Amino acid sequence: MSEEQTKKKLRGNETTKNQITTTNETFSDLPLDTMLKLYYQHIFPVKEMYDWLSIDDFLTKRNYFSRREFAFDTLKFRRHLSYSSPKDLQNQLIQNHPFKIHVGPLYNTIPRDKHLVSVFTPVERELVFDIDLTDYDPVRTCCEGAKICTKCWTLMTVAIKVLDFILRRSFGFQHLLWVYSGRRGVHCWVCDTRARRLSEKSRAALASFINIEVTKSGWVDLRHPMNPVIKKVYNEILVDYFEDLVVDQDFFGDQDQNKRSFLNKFSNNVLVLIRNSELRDRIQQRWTSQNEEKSRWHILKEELEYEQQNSKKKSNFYNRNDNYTKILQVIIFTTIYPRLDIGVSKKLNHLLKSPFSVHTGTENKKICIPINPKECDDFDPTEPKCVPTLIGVVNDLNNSKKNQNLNYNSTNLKKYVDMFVNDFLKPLRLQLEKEHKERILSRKKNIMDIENF
Amino acid sequence: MNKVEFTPKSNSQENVLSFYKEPPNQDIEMSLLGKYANERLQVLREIEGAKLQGLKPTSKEVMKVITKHLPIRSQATKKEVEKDQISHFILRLAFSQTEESRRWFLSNETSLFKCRWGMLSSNERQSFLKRINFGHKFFKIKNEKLREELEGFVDLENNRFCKVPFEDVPDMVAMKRVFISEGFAKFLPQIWQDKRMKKLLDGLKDSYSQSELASSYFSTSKVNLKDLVWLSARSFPPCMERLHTSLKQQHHLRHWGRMQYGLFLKGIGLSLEDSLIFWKNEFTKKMNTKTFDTEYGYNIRHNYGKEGKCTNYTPYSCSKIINLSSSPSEFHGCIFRTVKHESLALKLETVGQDQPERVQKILQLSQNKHFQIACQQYWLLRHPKETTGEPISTLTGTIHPNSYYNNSIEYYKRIQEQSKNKKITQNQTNQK
Repeated sequence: MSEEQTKKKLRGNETTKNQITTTNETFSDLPLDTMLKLYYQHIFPVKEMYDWLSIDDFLTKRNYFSRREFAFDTLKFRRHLSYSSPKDLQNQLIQNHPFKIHVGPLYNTIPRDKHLVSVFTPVERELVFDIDLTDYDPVRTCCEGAKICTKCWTLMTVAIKVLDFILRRSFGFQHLLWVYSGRRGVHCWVCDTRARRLSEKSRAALASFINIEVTKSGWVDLRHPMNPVIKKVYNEILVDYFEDLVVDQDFFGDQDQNKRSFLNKFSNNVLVLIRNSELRDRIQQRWTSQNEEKSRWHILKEELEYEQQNSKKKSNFYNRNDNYTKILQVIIFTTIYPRLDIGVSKKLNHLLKSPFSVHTGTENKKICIPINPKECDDFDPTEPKCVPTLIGVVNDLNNSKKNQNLNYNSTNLKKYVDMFVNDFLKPLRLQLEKEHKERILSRKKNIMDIENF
Repeated sequence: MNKVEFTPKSNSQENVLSFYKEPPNQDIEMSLLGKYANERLQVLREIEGAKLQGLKPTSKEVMKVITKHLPIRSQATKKEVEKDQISHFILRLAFSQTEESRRWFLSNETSLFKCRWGMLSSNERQSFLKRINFGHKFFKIKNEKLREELEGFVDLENNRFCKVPFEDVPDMVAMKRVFISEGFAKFLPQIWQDKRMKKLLDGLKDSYSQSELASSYFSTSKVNLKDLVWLSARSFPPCMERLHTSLKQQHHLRHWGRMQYGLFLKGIGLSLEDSLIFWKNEFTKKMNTKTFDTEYGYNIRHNYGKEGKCTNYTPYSCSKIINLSSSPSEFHGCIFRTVKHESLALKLETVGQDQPERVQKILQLSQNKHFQIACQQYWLLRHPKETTGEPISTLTGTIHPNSYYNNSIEYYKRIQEQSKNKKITQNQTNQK
């Protein structure tokens, strides 16, 4: 379809069921398939995605793009799809208009030709993480399941900050792409060359390092002495955010004692962490008393600190005092530390939803846009205007001026594609160029060494 | 003269500790090869024994045997290095054949490494790490802020840290036991000794091609059918003797009994043909030949690796036999465990009439569940006046029925030699 034809169709010159009379009407009654086709033809940033997934094809002839696996969710699910060029990809997207696109690993050969080879195996893959708010259901009090709100979204903000911190500061990775997964979670793609080449064992080790397991009792398994990296995360990120979240989520049931059953269970269970029965009773008493003005959290902290001071006087065993700090730590880690699905990060051949894919599961059909980790405090997908939707961008297209090009630049998505390019893609390409130069230099040096020998 | 080709890798060794990355490459005599292999095997067995008894591998007994056969000191002699390298690789070859032997070897070699590492001083350890080109720098924590962060997590007194890419130590990373910064895992070397060995051992899993070399449990000599009768009475361990007798009486043995005894016979050198004749002879006293051929013949050939996936099964070790489950109507397993106290006492008294103390000792050991040591004592009971020290270690007891058998054969050979020499000297004196 040419641009002119598209515009005509959008403007609706024929009397069809979907006749549009004014330019400001929305397109919510266009069938999903049509909207997706329009999206893939004009809006989905194919060239930018190609620039990303082709890694250093722009420098070398390694055929990264053709060896990359894609998967389409149409009426049936098909994986091991591959394409030779961005145009090829786009044509297939339009033709098939999948409601979900997945990106897989790089294989040793073109996935479409896998039946022609004896060994078909993944060779490189970005290090990925998937965090989902449903995993926080045991501690969330405002929502559960697929439902999310501003209050519990803060948990995702914390997760982004913690993970970003550890991946960059500890592991030294620099090229992270954070993406909103369309409904209730986030994905992280670590695209450094070192990350892409990690073995499954290394990925598992790394994921286990970051992950803190939640035991059957519902509390996390914190090992002491705490790893300095985890400790730093606690001191610099978790402690602060907890002060806000404890109010928003009402972890201790101050506001409504008859709230959800798991909340009350939580409150009662907290006291189980305290072995000193006198202390436990004291806290319990203050919690249920009518005269207390302080929040339960503050009472707990107060009582524990007081107990710690007293124990110091009583005995010289410093270790025993640690118990009280540990209790606070267990509470904070259990409620707000990132809950990873480490299975996603371990495997090389795991498929993950593509950035700029559309989440068709909800009414709004949000687009999976990148998130800037430095500004993630301001990102709130529950805000109606925050995340571009399929309907919204198609609408934008329709409203674009006659002389404008029909692409994402005329839509709400522009800001996010620009972010993708400027904050992520350009630095990554610069890095790849640098690595390429170093390779050439070292090759030259080797040749010279041989020649001089 | 049989020669095997290999030569030693590096010339200027310091201590003898090694990760055995490359096999040696020199000429060596077969007999020396056997000697080295056996001595290392003794060390490994001592280690296994210590572990079975719940002792740490760094116990005195183990260290004694290590110092005797595979000593470790700052300046190792060329011979010590040669012996260590060769014995390791020849055993590795020998034990590569079955999953069980591989596991046994890896587990005990790990412990051996741990012991010897424990015997080195801090400087010697550093020099070892340098030598194997562990390749990664040692550094001090100068940054005050960093020191504060690491407080409580590591012992900052000994502040020579090791820095490796985190991919090199996945197990420690997974357990959060290392500090990670800038993509490197930073830690004190003591912490990782177990895990580093694991990495080595993963590499060790490369198997060599099947070798004709028998492990020391296999007898190199053959055994004739007709000798089985008196051999079983004289040199078989009590568990096999019982199986032999039961087979003769019942003309049948159930599955585990057939496996335990059949593989043992293979180990002492009974050929497949003779084995088939032997079992057929007994079984057909109660069934017809056809049934035997179809039901049992196949399994015997399978045991010798001639059927199915052709695995050359090794005879069961004591630990395996002890753990076999059995019912009253069966005769396999370890007699010191399965036979009732009264029956055991009766049997022992018949056999060891002249050594009542040892009999009591055996009975007590059985009651206290030290079955293998009881068996070792039983060996001494049956082989009196053993003069060359204890062929079976008191520490471990008997660990394999075939080694019980081999030791018995050696013993009787020695007796023969001694009486021959006696006769010669007697003749000489007579002539005079």
